[in-house]
Amino acid sequence: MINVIQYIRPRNIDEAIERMAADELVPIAGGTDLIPQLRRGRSCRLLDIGRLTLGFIEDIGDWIEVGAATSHAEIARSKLIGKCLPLLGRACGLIGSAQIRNRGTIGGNIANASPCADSVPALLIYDAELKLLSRSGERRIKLAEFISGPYRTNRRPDELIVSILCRKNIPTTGNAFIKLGRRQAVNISRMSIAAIIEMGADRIIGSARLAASSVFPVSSRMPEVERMLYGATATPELFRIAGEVAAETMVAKSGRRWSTPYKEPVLIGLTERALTEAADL
Amino acid sequence: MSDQAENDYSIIGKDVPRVDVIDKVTGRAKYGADYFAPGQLYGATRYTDFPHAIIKKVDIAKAKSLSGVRAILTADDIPGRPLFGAVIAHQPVLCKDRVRFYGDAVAIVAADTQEIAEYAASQIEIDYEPLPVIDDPVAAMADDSYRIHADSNICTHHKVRKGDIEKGFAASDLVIEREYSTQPIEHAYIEPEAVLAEPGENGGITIIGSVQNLYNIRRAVASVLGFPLNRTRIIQATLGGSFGGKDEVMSAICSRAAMLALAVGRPVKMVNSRENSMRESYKRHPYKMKYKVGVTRSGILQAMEITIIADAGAYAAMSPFVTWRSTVQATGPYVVPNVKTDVYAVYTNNCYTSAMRGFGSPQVCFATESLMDELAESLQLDPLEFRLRNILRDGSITATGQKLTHKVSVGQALQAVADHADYVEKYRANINQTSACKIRKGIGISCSYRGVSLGAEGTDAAGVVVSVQTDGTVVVSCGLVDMGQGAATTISMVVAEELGITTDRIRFVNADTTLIPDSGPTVASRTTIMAGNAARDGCRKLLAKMKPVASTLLGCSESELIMRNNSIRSAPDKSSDSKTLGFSELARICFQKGIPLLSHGWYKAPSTTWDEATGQGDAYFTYVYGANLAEVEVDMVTGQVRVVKFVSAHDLGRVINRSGALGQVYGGVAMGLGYGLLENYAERKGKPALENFDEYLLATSCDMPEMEVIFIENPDELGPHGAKTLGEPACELAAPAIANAVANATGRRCRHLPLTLERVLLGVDLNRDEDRESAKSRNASQ
Repeated sequence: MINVIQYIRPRNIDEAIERMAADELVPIAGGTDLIPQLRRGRSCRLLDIGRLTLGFIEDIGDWIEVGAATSHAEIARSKLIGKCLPLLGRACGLIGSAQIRNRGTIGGNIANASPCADSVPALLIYDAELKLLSRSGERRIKLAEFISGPYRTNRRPDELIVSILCRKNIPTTGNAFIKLGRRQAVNISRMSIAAIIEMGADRIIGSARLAASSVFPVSSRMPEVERMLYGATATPELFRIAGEVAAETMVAKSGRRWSTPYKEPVLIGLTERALTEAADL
Repeated sequence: MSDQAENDYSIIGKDVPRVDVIDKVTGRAKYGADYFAPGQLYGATRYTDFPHAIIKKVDIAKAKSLSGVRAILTADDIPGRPLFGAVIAHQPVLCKDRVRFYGDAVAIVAADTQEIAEYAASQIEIDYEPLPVIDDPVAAMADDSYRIHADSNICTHHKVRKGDIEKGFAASDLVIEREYSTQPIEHAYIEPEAVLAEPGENGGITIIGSVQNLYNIRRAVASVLGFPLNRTRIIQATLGGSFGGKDEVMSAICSRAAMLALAVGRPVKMVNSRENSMRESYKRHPYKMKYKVGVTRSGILQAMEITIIADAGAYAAMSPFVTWRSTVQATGPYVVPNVKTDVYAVYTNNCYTSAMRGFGSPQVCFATESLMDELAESLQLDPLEFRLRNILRDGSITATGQKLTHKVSVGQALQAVADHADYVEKYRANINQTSACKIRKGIGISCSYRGVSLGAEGTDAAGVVVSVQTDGTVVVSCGLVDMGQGAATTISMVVAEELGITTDRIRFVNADTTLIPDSGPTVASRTTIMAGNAARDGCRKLLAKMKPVASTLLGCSESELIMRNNSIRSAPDKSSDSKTLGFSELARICFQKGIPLLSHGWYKAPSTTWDEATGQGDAYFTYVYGANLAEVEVDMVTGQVRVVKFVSAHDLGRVINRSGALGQVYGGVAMGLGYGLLENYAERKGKPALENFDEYLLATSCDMPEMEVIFIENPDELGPHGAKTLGEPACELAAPAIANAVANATGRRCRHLPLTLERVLLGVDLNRDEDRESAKSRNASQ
């Protein structure tokens, strides 16, 4: 039994933020996370953002702006995303099933703040920022600061996520996105890793970016690994050590949990695999 | 029964589209939840809050006072016998003073809407005194274990005693002992349980819904209501899958809906959510299996000592029969001169377990087929060669002392899959893969023999009603049901072949207990052989009346009549004066002459024998044989197994519907793959650890490999046109073939299903010992 106390569907953004200011409302777009939570006993007042024209992908100079209600499927098939933010396109193309990708939205994936959200590692690689709107105006916040814990964000109850901005021109020689699931489709990630490497013909790494989900309480970049890669020569040994540093960081930040005996060797192996693929070794 | 030569068939063996396909793809098919009746109410069930407890008090006052609530019933309101069960009648429709598993029901509600009914159910106040939760069947066997029922926790103990195992082990050069285990799994039919119960005229009750075994369910409902069978009518709606799963759970739900409908005098509909379906519906038995096996240096099996403990959960249901099939088939399809087998089904407070596609075979197939590979490795033989030295052949004696008098084709099946995929070469090459290789290849085989139909479980007979209409179209109905497996099409094809008409002239009508005789349950892959034979019998009885009319009209003898493609003609050698008569014309004339155009075909299976003390006897009247082969790629970094190629070979006697048979194999392998790699109905201290398909993982279409199917046709004299059984054999062999392939790839053997990422990588499974973060955050947000 689904317990929806109230359901409203405002016609425009202004109306939406007025309603958000007045009541504690949970915005709903595709509902792919919310509906299962409602089935399991959560009750809430819903504000449907379906009429707010928040489904768009735009090139705005140094940034690509993606509307919060843009579906994973739209992102996965966007040529602009494929060209400028290929990791995000790939990540969104691997979320759940075709049905989930058609309904689920990027804003919802972020707002739900699951530690295994697939889009988040890719967004972190592109320095993603969020545009939030409320009656008191617009607020821009880095994604890394927005997600405050597992299933927790710094969204104020009166704020609506309007769009996500990603930096367009991150120096890239090669990239990789790996999602590990228990089966070949319709997976809740066991782990996902996004990586970008920038290096010259001499294989000396100019910069590297690495982010993972289902590894830390909150999906995040791995500065410890990125630092050790900086200026080093890309070799299988280097990437193996990078994997070990990633695993040490995981244990330091997440502690030893039931899944650690599995995740430790797998994070080493998949970090190595992602970097090897990105460096095209 | 005599058979025509294969090329004489006009319909048997062809590709015939399912007779129900248009209904199903257009949405015209009516499933249980699609039925509505004027004035209907909605039912809801209040389940227990503890897996094991004494019920001290049930207070319905608050719930009953809610607006829109029409009835709340508890065990005190049961008009007839409160307990049901086809084998042991001890399962409560509603629990009175004790609950034994987390899906037990305490009360039921009928209300104006589903929401009111569910809310009212949640407002019923129950006082409990929790009892110790017995969740381990091994611990439950101990004398001092808490008793779940009045008697011992051992529900069933089946034995096989053949030869002398001590002599057999003494004659062996190698004796190994291994333990294997399998997990509980959910049927996961796409349609959850759904029924509509209507109080009828004459004080009876009519129930339409998603029922697999109408007659078992009718007996249960009639007993609960205190009704005679002729006032208890069960009609089968189009079923959205069952796989053995819509039997006891439907007895409970039909009884509850009927009680509510009679209490309020209005129709009551009960439809389970997926969460409630998972919670209360029975599962496939998890098994713990110990095998001690002796073999000579030259690779000939000498003795097997087998101890199997099956978790029956809270109630017996079909456990005595499921474990009996395991007992018969526990050695696998091998000649073993000395056998000692003990199979126990044991009560616990876990979800009860009963029939599921395979019925006790998938577990023992996993054990024996893993064991054969392990023995072959120890003897440095390839697993194919080792199997071929020991398999059952024509005239072999089985573990239960039965001499096999039909064509025994397990060797043929094994050789077919092995040849198809170059098994021996690949097996050897895979062993020599370097440890640096991150994605490793593996290949594995498995094989089985399987008793056809019910065997010594009990009465084995079925009926089909064939009714020719005055325009020559035909209505066919059968006490064995179509639950998606294609029975409607198969039976229609047998009738069409027999009457010489096309399948489009036949309308197959779903079963109805009031109109069709009790044919036993639609289980044990018995429908093609039992209903097929009954359909032939029915058609022959009709033809005995219709043929004399035709021969008079055509001026030839009955033996010269050729009935084909909706017409009847005399034999071609009299072609000069050959006349033709339409089947529709013949039907019209027969009707005018007052000849009965309805017949009831019946088939009773040959007798079987079984001695409980020694486990010896002719357990089943015939057997089928099959072999599977899997090729896998194992990611050595993550433990992920990808099945890339699959070959199934099955001797099914005769293919009736080729596309239907292929569908059975594809679906069977999909279920077997899920069993091998993914599915696990995990419970912790008697409570399910998951409640929907987000965490209960089934194989998706993307997980399915390229598949080859090889049908071996050795017609069996007992089958209709030689046809036997396919549905369950298609499902029982995939998991061990995959497990053997994984061992071939990694050099490490997983003896416990499923082969999760963790098991394949680490050799052990990891259990989540903490609540999901999402659950915590939800509570915090409320």
